[in-house]
Amino acid sequence: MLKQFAKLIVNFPKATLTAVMVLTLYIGFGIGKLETRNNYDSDLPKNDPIIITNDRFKKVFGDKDVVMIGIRTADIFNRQTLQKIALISEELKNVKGIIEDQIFSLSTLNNIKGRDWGLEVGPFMEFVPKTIDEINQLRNDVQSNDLIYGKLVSKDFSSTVITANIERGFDQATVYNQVQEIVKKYEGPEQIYPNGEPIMQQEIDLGIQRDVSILLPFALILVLIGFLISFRSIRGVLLPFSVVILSIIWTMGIMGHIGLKMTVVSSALPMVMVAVASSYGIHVLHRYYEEILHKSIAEAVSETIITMTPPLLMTGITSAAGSATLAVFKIMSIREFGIITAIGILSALFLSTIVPPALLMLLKKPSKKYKKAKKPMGNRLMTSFALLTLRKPGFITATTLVIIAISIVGITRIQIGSDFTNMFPDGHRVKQSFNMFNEYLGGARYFNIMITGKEPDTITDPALLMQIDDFQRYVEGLEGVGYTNSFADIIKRINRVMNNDDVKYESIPNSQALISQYLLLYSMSGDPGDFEDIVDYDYQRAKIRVMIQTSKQDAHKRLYRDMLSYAKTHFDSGVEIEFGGSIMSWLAQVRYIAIGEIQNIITAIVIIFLFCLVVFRSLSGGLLNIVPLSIASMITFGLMGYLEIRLEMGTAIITAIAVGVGVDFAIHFISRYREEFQKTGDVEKTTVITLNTAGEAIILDMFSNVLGFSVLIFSGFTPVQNFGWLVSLTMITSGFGSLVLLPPLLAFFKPGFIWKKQNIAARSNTVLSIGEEPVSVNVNEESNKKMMELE
Amino acid sequence: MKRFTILLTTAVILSLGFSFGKSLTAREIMEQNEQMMNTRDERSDLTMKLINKRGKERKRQVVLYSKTDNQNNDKTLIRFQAPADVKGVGLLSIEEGGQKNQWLYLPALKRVRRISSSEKTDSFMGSDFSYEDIEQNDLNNYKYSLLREENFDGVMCYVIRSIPVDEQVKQETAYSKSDVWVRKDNYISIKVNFYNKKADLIKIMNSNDIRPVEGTDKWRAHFIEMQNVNTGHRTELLYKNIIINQGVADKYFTQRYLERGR
Repeated sequence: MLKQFAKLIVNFPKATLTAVMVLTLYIGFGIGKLETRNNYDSDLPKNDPIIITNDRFKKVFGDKDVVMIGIRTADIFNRQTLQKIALISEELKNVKGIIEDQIFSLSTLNNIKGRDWGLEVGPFMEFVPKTIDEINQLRNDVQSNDLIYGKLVSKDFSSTVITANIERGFDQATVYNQVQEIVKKYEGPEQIYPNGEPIMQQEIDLGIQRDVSILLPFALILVLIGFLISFRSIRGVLLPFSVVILSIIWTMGIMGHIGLKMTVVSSALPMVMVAVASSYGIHVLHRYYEEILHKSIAEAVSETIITMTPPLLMTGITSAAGSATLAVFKIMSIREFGIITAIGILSALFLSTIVPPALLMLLKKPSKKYKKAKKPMGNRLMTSFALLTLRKPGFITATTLVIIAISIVGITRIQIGSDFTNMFPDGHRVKQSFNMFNEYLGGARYFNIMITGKEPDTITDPALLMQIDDFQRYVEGLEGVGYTNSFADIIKRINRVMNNDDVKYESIPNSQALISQYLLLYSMSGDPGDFEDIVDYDYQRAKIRVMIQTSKQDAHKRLYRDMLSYAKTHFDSGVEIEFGGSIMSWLAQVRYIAIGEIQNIITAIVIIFLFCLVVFRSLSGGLLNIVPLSIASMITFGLMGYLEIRLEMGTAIITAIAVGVGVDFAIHFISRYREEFQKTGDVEKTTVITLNTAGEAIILDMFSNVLGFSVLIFSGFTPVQNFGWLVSLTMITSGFGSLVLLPPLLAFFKPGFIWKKQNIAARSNTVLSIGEEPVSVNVNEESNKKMMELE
Repeated sequence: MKRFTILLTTAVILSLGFSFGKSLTAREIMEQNEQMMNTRDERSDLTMKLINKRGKERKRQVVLYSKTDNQNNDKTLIRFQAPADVKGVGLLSIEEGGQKNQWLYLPALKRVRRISSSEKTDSFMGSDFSYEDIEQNDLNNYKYSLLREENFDGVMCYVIRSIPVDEQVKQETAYSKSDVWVRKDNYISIKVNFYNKKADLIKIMNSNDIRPVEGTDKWRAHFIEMQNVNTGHRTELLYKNIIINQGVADKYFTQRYLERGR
C-alpha cells in the first residue's frame, strides 16, 4: 500500500500538487470565517450551576454589559476635570450601543439632597460649577452621600468613574475604538483608564491578533534560519517551509470551517504548528538527501516515502493523541484547543508525506551533494556521556529520586485557577486599569448576589431589607471587598434625607408602606432603567453588587465561602441567595481544571503507554517509554508549585502537548537501542552508538521544538507565556531524561523485548526505523572505531 | 343670471377657502393642534403601565387634576390610588411667573416636603415619557416643516418635522428633531418619532382610542404608548373619565389638600 502511494506521487507529482493546492485554497477560505471567543461564561458547561445562575440573573436583571471610564488626577474637584467628566458623559452617548440614559457619572447621577427649602432631586452636577463655593458645595454633596462617596468618587477625591450600560449585541471593536478616541481626546493631565467587559473582550481580541501577527512571523523566521543552518540550500529551506505554511493554513482553515473559535489558548496554535510541522519536513528532506547520494530522483523519492511514512505516522499519532486527550476537560477553550491541535498535527503529517516528495520530483537532482556535517567534538562528548550513564547508575538513581521528591513537594503547593485579570502580564494597560480601579474605586469586578423573597413585594419588607443591610455591612468588613450596593442603601439614604438629613435615620424604616413610597419617590426621580439593575419588577428579587478590590483568586474563593456561610445562617428561611457574576465563572473553572488535569494526565499517559505497548509488543517497553516524560512532567509541575505559577488554562495544556511530543524521544532512543543491541549484543557499545546517533537526533529535535514553542514567551498573555516556556522546559527535561535515564534502566532491567532477539527479527524492519534520523553506515563505523579506541 | 353669479362667486370663494385650508403651513397645523389640546381645566384617571423588555410590568394608578389660569400658569396635582402601598402619595406643582414649584406628600411620613422641580428632559414619574413629551411645548421654540401628507392608520395626516429654533432650545431638549403625524380631521397627533442628538430614532409614541371627550368639542387619545427603541422598555398610559372645562376647584392645588392624602 505504501509502495502504491509512493508510486502515485512519483508518477503524478503535478497532479498531486495541484490537488493539494485546490484543497488548500478551499480549506484556506475557512480562515476568513474564524471568530474569536472572549466571553468566558461560554467556556463552562451549560449545565454548570453557576452558568445557570448567571443566565437567571440575565433574565431577571437584563443582559447588559458595562463600560467604565476611570479618571484620576490630584483632586477631581477642579473646574477642568469636572468639565471633562460632563463632556465624556455626554460623548459616551455617541458610542454605538451605549444606552444613552444609562450613563452614570457625577454629571448624570441623581442625588436626593436635603436643602433648607426642601428636597433637591437632580444630578449631582447639573452644570459644571464655576466658583470655589459651587465646587465646595459639590464636594460636600459627594462626601455626604454614602451611595457614591468611596464608590463613584474615591475617598481621597483623586479618582472618579463614569459607567455606561451597553446593550448586548454591540460591536465590540467599534465600542472599543470610540471609547479609546474619547480617552485620547481628554487624557492629560488626568489619567484615564477604560475598563469593563466590552473593553476587556476587545483587549483579548487585540492580544490574539497581536500574538498571531507578531509571533507567527517571528517563529517562521526562526525556523527559516533553522532550515538554512541544517540544509544550507534554497530547496532545503523552501521545502520544509512550504510544509509549515501549508499546515498552518490547513489548521486555521479547518478551524474556521468547523466553527471552532479563536481563544487566548488557541492563539498559541500557529506557533505550535510551526514547531510540529517544521520537524516533520526536516525528517523527510534529511532522508531524501541521504537516498539521492546513490539513487535516481524517482527512486530516492519513492524510498523516502516508503521509509519515512511509518516513523512519521508514529510520532504524529502520539503527538495528535496526546493533544486529543485535552478533550477530557470540560472547559471549552481547552477542549477545542486539544481537538484542533490534533487535527493540525495530522494535517502536517499528511502534508509532509506528500508535498516535499512531489516537489522533489519536479526539481533537478541537487548539484551539491548534501553531506551531513559531523562534529567529532560532539561525538566525543556523547561517548563520554554514554559511558557516564552506565558507570554511575547509583548517582543517577539517587539524583533522580531527589529531584522527584523535591518535585512532589512542589506539586503539593500548586495553586489552581486564575482570574481574568491575570491573563495579562504586569505593566499591560489592562493590568494598570485594574490596579487603578482596585486601589481607588473599590474595584472593577464584582460578585452579583440575588436575593429572592418568598413572593412578590417581599423585597419591600423591612425585616428582609434589614437582613440585606446587615449582610452588606458584614461583607464590607471582609478583606478584598471594595464596597457593596443594593436597594437597601437607597432606602436608607432617602430615609435620612426625608428626616432632615439626620444621620440617625440612615437606616431601614420599619414601615413597609414607607419603603414603598420611598421607592416610588426614587423611581419617579430617575429613568425607567435606573432601577432595573437592583430590584426586579415584582419586587421579589433584589441584587446586591459586591465590588472586589483584589485580582487574587484565592481571595475570591475565600470571600465566596465567607459570604455563603454568613448568608446561610443570617437570612430567613425561604429567602433564596444565589451568587453570580464573571468572578463566579472563573471560580467555577477551578473545579473543572483540577478534575480535568488529573483526568488528562492519566488519559495521556495511559494512551501513550498503550501505544508503546503495541509498538514494542512489550509491557516493559510501554513502561520504559513513559518514564522520562512522567518525571519531566513532575519536574514541571513541581517548579510551578515553587514559582507560584498557577495551574490554569495555559498551564493545563502543557501535559498533553509535552507528553505527546516528548514521548518521541524515548521511542527513538529505545528503537535505536534495540536495533544496535541486536547487532552488537553489547550494552556499552549499544549505549554509545545509540547516544551518538539517536541521541544526537533527539537533541536536535528537542531544540527545534523548543525553538518553536519558546516564541510563545513573547505572547501578550501570561497563560500563553507560561505555556511557552514550561512546555519548552518539559521538552528539554524529557529529552535529557531519555538520554540519562534510559541507558542505566535498560542495562539494569534488560527488558525481554530487547534481549530476546528471536522475537524481534521478523518485525524489526518497520518498527525499528522509528529512530528516523538514519545515520549512514560510515557514522556507525566511525563510532565503532571510537568505541574500540576507548576500550 | 344673478343667481348664477352668486353661485359662481360662492364656488370661487369656497374653492379659495378650500385651497386656503389645504395650504395650512406646518406652523398653522401645530397651532390647530395646540388649540385642540388647550383647556382651562381637566381631571382624569390615569393608569400607567411600565413594561420592561422582558414583558414584566409595573402598574400605577393616579388621578390627575390640572388647571390653567388667566396668566397661562399651570397647576397640576397627581394623586396616587394604587398600588395600595403608595395610595395617597401626592405631587403638586404650581407655576408662578415662569417659575415652577413642587411639593411631595408621602402618607407614611405624614409630611409635605417641597422638592426641586423637574427638567424638561427628566422622566415623567419614572416612565418612558419625559416632561417635554407630555407637556405642550412653546411653538416659538421650534421650526416646523410639512414633510408630506399621508394616510396613516386609516386617517389622513400631516407629517410635520420640528427642530429646535436656536442653541438654547437645543440644549434644553433631548431631541435633535421629531416627526409628528397630525390628523387632518381633528388635529390630534397620533404618532411621534423622536430622534436623539445622534439623529437616531430613539423613542416612538403612538396614540390610540381617539374620540371626543363627552360634553366638549375636544378630542383626546385615551391610550398612549411610548416605546424606547434603545432599551426595549415601554410605557402605556390609559386615560379614563376625562373631564374637561367643568371647573376643577382651586382647593385641589393647595398644600393643605395635598396633605389630606385623598
